[in-house]
Amino acid sequence: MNIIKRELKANLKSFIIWAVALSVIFLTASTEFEAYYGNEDIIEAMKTFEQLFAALGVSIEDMTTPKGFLVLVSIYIYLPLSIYAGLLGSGIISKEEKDKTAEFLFTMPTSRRRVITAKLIVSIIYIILLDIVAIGINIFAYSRFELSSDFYQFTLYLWLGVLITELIFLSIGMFLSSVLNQYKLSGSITIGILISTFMISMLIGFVEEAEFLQYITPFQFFPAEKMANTSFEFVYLLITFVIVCSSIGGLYYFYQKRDLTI
Amino acid sequence: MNMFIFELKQLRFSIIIWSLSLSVGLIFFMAFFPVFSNDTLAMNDLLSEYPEEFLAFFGMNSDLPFTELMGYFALTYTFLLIPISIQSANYGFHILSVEERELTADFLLTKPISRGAIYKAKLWAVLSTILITDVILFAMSFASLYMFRSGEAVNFKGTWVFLASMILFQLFFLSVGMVISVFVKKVSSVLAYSMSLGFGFYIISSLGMMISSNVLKILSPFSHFDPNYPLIHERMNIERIWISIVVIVLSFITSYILYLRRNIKSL
Repeated sequence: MNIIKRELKANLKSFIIWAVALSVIFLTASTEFEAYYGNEDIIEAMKTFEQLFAALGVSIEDMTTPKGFLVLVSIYIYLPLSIYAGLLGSGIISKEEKDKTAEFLFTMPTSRRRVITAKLIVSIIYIILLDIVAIGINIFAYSRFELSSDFYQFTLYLWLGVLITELIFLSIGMFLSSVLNQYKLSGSITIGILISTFMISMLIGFVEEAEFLQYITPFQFFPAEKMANTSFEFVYLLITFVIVCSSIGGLYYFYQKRDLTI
Repeated sequence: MNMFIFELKQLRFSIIIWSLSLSVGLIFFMAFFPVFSNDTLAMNDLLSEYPEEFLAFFGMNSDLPFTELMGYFALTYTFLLIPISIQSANYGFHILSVEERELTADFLLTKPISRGAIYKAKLWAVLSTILITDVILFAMSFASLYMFRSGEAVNFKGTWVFLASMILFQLFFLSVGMVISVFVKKVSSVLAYSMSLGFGFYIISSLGMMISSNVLKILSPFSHFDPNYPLIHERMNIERIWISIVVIVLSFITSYILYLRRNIKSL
């Protein structure tokens, strides 16, 4: 319990910075949305370009509604939150070695397993909280417009989709910082994975031939377009389950045996 | 000279890994072009029918559709600029703060050498790392353009102008990283800082593109150095780039002054 409290405190500052920065970005985006909101001309124009939208893989549903607009800019919810999760995951494990506090912590009468469990709980609390803040701010930002009846349901699913994506990167980050000999590398590699999967995901958006790559990029597992139709595909849930479980399992297994740099 | 060589040696693995992965990313993206360009004739027709403002909404333009080689190259670089910015920011945040982080400040700063000289040696070291990365990226860009062009013409001049302007783009992140690292009390995690800087500006610029907001576009170097512009006009986007240049100059001067006066923590 003490470790949980200590970790909650240690990671609070970066959480607040992230929450404030994200809120500013989302609020800015929503003020720009006002220009589109319910604009008959734009809806009219969209209809004539139906073909182009189809070619781009964007549902024309209507970008002039809060739901449609949120789908369009959703990658800017997924991306920063995944970065937060990845950095948090690798940082929370490796910071004992980085700050030279490993000696202090691991001479305490507590097992490594309990330390890891506490850190895992704290990270999950923080990613859930940041997710709530991000989606909450968006709900708040768009609540001044007329919302369709399924908007709240959509945000709930969006929340879930973002959370699962975050979990993937969190567990990868934690796993890498337990298994790599050099604790310094874990953050860089986690972010390397994140950037490359993000770039692959963007590539898929533009180039249809690259679609077979969708199984290796978490950004394609639960994207907002799918969340808008409330469709969680089984195969992606399975992949996520395998990644998260094996990472967490590996974290416990390898950290128990880890030769800590002191 | 000793310090310069030492810092370069410290960064040697980082340079190799970054250059390698940037090259792999570039070639990976470009390799999809031949497959992709086969069935784009219909798309081209479609694109030419739409008004400019409309395409701008999706970050496209009819002068340089991404279904053509140079447009696809520009698209590749819009994404590649993210890791490039992070690399430069990484070096910026790292170079002036590393002694304090690794508790070697006592060692370096008690040597009979001025802080100004330390600053200069470190600056030259990071500038060279960036140049080394660039030489590799330049070569890889042209190689991949000629390898995967599938019969289309390469805009040689435009590509040069763009790649040259990219050095300024890197200097922006390097200098801003350096100035922030001497402003804050302690840079505990370089990556957290450089990620926020790189992705932060990327998100600002692409939101600005999507909702065509000029304020956001002026704020972000990602739109100052948008690869589409030099590839279409064969010159740099001076109206925007001067903002970046001012920031670069101010950051270098401020970081120099602040580093000379910094209260560096010792053991």
